[in-house]
Amino acid sequence: MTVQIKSLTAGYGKHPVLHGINMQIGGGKLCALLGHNGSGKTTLMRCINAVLKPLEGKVVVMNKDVAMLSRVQIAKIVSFVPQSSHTAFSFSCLEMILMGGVSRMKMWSAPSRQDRQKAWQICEEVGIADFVLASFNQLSGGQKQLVMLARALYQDAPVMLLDEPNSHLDFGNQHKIMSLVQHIVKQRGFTALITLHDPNLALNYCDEVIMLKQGHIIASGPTELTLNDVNLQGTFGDNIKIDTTSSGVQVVVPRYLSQYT
Amino acid sequence: MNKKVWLSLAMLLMTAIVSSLSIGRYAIGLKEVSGILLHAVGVDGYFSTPTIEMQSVFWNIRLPRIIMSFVVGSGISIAGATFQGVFRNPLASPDILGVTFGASFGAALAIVFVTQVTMGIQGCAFIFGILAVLSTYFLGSRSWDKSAAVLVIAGIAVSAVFQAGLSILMYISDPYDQLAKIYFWTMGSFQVASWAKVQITLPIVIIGTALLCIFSWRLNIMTLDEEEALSLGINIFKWRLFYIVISTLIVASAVAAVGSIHWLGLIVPHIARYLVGAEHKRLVPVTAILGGTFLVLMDTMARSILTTEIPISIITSIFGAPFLGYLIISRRGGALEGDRAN
Amino acid sequence: MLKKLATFLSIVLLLVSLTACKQEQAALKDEVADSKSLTFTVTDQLGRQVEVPQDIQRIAALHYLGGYIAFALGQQDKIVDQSFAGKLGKAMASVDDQFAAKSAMPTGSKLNLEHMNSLNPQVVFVYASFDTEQIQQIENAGMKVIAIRGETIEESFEAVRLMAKVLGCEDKGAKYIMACEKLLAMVKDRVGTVSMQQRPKVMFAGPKNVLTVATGEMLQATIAESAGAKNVAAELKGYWSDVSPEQVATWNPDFIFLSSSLDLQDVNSIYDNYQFNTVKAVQEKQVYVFPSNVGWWDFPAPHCILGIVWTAKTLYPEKFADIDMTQVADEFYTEFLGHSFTSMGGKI
Repeated sequence: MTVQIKSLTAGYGKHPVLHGINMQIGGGKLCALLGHNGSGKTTLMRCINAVLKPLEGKVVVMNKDVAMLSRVQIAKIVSFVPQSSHTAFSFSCLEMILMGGVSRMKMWSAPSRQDRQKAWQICEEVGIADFVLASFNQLSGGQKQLVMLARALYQDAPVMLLDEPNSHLDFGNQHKIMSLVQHIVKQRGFTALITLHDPNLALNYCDEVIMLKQGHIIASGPTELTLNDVNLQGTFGDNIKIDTTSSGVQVVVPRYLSQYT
Repeated sequence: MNKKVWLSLAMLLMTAIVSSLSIGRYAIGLKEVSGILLHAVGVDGYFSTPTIEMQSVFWNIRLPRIIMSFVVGSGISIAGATFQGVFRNPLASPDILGVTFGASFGAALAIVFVTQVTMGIQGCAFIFGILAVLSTYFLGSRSWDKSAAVLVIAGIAVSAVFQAGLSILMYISDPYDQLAKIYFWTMGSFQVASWAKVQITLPIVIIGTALLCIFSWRLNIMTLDEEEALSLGINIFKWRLFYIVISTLIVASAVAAVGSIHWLGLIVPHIARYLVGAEHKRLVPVTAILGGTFLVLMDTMARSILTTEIPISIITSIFGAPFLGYLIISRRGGALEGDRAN
Repeated sequence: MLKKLATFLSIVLLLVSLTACKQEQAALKDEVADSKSLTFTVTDQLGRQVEVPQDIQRIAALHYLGGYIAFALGQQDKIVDQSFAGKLGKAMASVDDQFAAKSAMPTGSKLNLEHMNSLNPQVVFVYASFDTEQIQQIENAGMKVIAIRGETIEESFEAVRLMAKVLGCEDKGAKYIMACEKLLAMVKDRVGTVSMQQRPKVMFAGPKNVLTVATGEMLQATIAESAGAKNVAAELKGYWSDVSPEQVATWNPDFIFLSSSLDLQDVNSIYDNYQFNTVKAVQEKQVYVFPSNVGWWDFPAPHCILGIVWTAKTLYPEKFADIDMTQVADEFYTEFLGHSFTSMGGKI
């Protein structure tokens, strides 16, 4: 198991947000983390890459306890794609991407020509080669998200965490990102954990799901088995169900809208 | 690296050095300088042999002063660029943690109570400059909030304390000599630049500047959100301390030697960003060279335009403040770019 | 120094504990009745018309110029405060018990109106640069203020005449002025004929350090000129000006005088400073601290006449070989300060 979490209790100040979480994620899987607002999704992510120290419990990634690792060592095995990024200074996208390599570099180094070439290749793979020299702050939300994804790729860590990458994206871009992540996971054998608001994206792209409610895991496992009406309603409330379209595609829809009853 | 920019920088630097060496209240022009330099390596006859007085003025007064202003200019500027990166704030300056007010207080303390000996004042200024930053760091680290913003607020508090102390010292000082001395010190001056001062200040600033240049690429990452930087693999707390310590040592020794020089640490990094962009591996060394060059030019003005000495901060303010205004209005390049609206 | 340390600490304590100052009650508060007795009007050196009482018994001098003149007019018994501070004040306190018994009154921003009120002077002499608002405050408290000034020799004579008029001793004032003019004339006789080109170049430095010079508009320029010297900084205007070592090298003065308040700057440190080794005054060891150690002879006051004599003697030793500076100072001090120069610890 690539990521193992044992009896994790974590939170901010005195009040824990997560209570005694136990879970595992296997290697090479794209795993969705679903839950209502405030259920602890982001807190969980922060614990995995040790940005937040847990009150109790252990996080083990690639058979190493992250509490024992230095920041550099953690960054070599876990990368993080944030929801948004902003710098006070105007860097180009390429410069942003190159920052992903810091965990591999010596303290006094700067990126070499080979590093730059490697970064370019990733840009082409992700599809941002056209604007990679533009200023990062000037891009649209979707473009920024792709750049940060490219940065995480450049970081080349086997576990990738994506914190609500879709929240600022339009419909088309949401699917674009998801298929890109799916492709990356398959091609490189990474393990990815992605927090989502839309269960449909989990349904369509993710191998496994973990469902959180108020700091507890109420269900986890392969998508086909775990993402069902019962669990969905347990997580998000009554007004949700899975339906099948006429062409056989499964979709998650609200239950009380007239056309669905 | 843009070859054109480097070339222009080099030319600017050369022009600054050559003109500063040949301008001053004592009549030593370009011809005489060449004569002096050649004479020093034993070659005579190409230009008129320089008089003993000319040589003395050149080697003892003018040259150490030019070296001092370059060293101080690059030190303060590079510290400014580093602080802007560490605190993720384009408006940060080297004074942000209180080193300048601490040093001013230390100098005033020495002037009023202890001694008129220059080395004593310099030493006291240095110690109190460091003390101020230590207090700021100590105060800031007591907070539950580990962010850089807390340090800035702590810096404001500590600066206020030392500023109050400075005011008290100015109040009780002898108005005939001590008060004027304190006031002139707070405006900054290279009037008393000498080889002795150069010997003390140069090593610290050069080593510090070299360190900041070597580790300059990391600053790019320090400018990101703290969580992002941590996730990328940088222990931002250790590195923040490192950058603060090195920068403070540079600024404290510079300020202790020549007094406080306003605006330079804030303006030069912005000019450099406008020329070569915000990427720190390029920005930091360029800032150092640019800062040294500017201060050499400005000090040449300060010591030559009038018979009397103009305090250097007046010149840096006259040129610095309007330039900042220009940057704000034009919003081109550099650090003051915002996001495009989505 | 100890006093300053104490002031520093006490200000800090004050902020913390709000200790009330000790009240210095002068018992004489009731003594002087607000009599509508005879008064007369004078115009002070700020152009103010001031109505002062006849037969004044109690005065204060908030600046040493007033102190000097009051002593010179023989009116020192009427002064309620220690009218001068610093080295002269200390020297005076050591030889004059009456002086030592009086309280010191810091001026400027530190002036304590209540304290002055408790001492109850009828007339207060201040320097013309005194803050006009504070003048108003003092007058509101019932004391008259006379402003005096002595930036040039003629001005200080004006001050003497004014104070003599106010204090009803115009004959003593005339005597004082005559004594000063006699010394001036003596100097002028001997050096007045030296042409500009032949005059030695003099640089007056201080009060911050040797690189701060007295401009052509200051008293030091008058002293230099009267003593037959040429001030290198004559074309500069305003108050003390800072210059670079290069400028000093360009001027190349024959003599450098360090302001008498700069006693902390050792002459030797200038000789040792290699940045000055092209300067003639340094090469020929003609750097002096301006006298004296009891009373500054280069500050606005008629006493600066002594400074002129000393300067002339230093610049032209042959022409003044017969003049014994210590003796001249002794005579002057005894006559116009009540104690001889040497008895106060004065040394040339």
